[in-house]
Amino acid sequence: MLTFALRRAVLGVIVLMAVSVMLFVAIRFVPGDIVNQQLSEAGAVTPELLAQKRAEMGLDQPVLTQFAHWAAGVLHGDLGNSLWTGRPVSDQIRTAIVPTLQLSILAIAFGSVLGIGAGVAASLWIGTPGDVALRMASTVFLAVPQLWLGLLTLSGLAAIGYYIPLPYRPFTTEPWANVQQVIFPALALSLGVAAALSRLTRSAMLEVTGADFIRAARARGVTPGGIYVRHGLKNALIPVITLLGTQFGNLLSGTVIIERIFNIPGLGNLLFESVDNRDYPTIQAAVLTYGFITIVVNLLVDLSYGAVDPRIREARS
Amino acid sequence: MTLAPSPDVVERRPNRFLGILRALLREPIGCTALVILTTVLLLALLAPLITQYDPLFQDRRAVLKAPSLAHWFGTDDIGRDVFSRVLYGTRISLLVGLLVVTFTMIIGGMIGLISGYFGGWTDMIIQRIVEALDTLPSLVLSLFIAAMLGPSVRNVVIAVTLAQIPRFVRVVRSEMIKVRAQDFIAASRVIGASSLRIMLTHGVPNLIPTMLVMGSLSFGIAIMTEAALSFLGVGTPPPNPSLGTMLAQGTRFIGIASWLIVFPGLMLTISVLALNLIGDALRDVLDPRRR
Repeated sequence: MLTFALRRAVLGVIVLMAVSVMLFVAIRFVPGDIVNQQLSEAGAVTPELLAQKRAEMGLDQPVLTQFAHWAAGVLHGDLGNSLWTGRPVSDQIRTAIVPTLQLSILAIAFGSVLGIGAGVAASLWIGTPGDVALRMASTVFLAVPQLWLGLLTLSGLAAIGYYIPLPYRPFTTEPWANVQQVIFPALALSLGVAAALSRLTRSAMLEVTGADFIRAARARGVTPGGIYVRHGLKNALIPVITLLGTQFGNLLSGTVIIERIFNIPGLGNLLFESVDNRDYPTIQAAVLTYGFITIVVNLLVDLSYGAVDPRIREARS
Repeated sequence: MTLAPSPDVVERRPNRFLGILRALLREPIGCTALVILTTVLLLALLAPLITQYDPLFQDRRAVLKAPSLAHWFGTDDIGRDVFSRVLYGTRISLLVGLLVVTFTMIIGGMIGLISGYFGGWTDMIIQRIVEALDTLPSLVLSLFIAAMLGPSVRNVVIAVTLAQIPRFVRVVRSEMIKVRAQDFIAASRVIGASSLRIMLTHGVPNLIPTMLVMGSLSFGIAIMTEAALSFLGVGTPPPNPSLGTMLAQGTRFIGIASWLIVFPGLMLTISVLALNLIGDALRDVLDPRRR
């Protein structure tokens, strides 16, 4: 199990390296750098001034040299300084990642409860109006853009006269304000996950409950509740976990939008601002952080297969 | 598929898409979805005939008016007719979606075919690149590309296409691997068919069902991504009406003018819903196991 985890972790690091090479090249091929951006705001632009500024930031070096310099820094845990604010990039990332993770973990939690609950309910009520209603709801919520759902949540809250306190406050200093700020965006994000999950849970449950071992359990006199949880749900869990893993990517995409709508200073907002300013080190670090989160989630998904299914655990060791 | 196609096979070919369409119309869900999508399409195409308002015309006497008989969906903060803007915005959404799906199918399909057919080193390299692209959430990738290239419809198409390609490559590749393992491929190789010929005559036709299902789902995702990018200000540049920019504009009037948010979003949702349902129905129609 440990060797399996290690091997996957090493693969993850290799993929991240590939991503950073691609980003580095892509960023520098695009016209218009930060010097242009900063000086055009200041007004007077002369070629000498441009060249001087670029030399200060090391942007006049060949791309390969710049990359080697940056990569050496990363290996020492140094992501460089923001070209815009001058602050260390790692500090910015550390502050921004907290609300993003908070949002996505909450959304996954809400989505799992809602989705698995609805899926199990639909499989129990199969063929009844309740089943039809739940399936229709999940089809609709799969099509509602997170963007619109977020805006509707905000309008709905405004309609009942509730305004979310602003600006954003971290959970550690003002937990109550933070909860108010995070809970609604997380709910808006979770509905898409819930919809996808309930569809899958329903069909997985129906497939499992038709299996021989369920009939055997029923014959042995296991209660219906026991059958559902211990035999049904447990066996339906593998595809559900797989889906949760793939949904996490969608969810992260959603946080970019939701952070913007609800004014949450997360990774999405950081990325957005740094792209606007052509702040290379920050863009690079923000995008890589998304990659890093995805890789960690995929690793967790892979590991949890073993935890859920003893057969997979044995095959791996 | 036989080595020497019998005449009736050749004859049936041109009707293949019609056959799929007919099967789709027989499904209640597929039929409903097709009707909805056609309506949306007609509304967008015939916009100038349906509404007499110019989507860019600013009527200073009708600012932030609630929906009424004169303005079905109300007006925005500078007096533009929201109904007209929604129709013209849908044009851009559908255009972007169509272009993205076409390019994704062609480029992603080709890369996937090559990766699956040749295997070995080619496959290894392509798969690593796809994996690397896949670790980034698709909107992050699109936002990054679109913002770097600057706001324009063309750049949105590039950004969304690039983010969609990995999924297509992966699916087409695995289908191609399945096709490649079958006897008729070995048979055509024996009689001297070139790799290109095998990919085009045996690979492509076998991939059409998968491509159609993925295409319709992709279409919906592309529309949503275009809206998201425009919402963030890196998509369709103003003053062009785009559902995303309209939603961004509406955020400033939350609690004051809800129609600015409700109608563009509703149009977006209906389009995506219809496309998703067509995808689901196509899967049922085309999947041989479900027939």
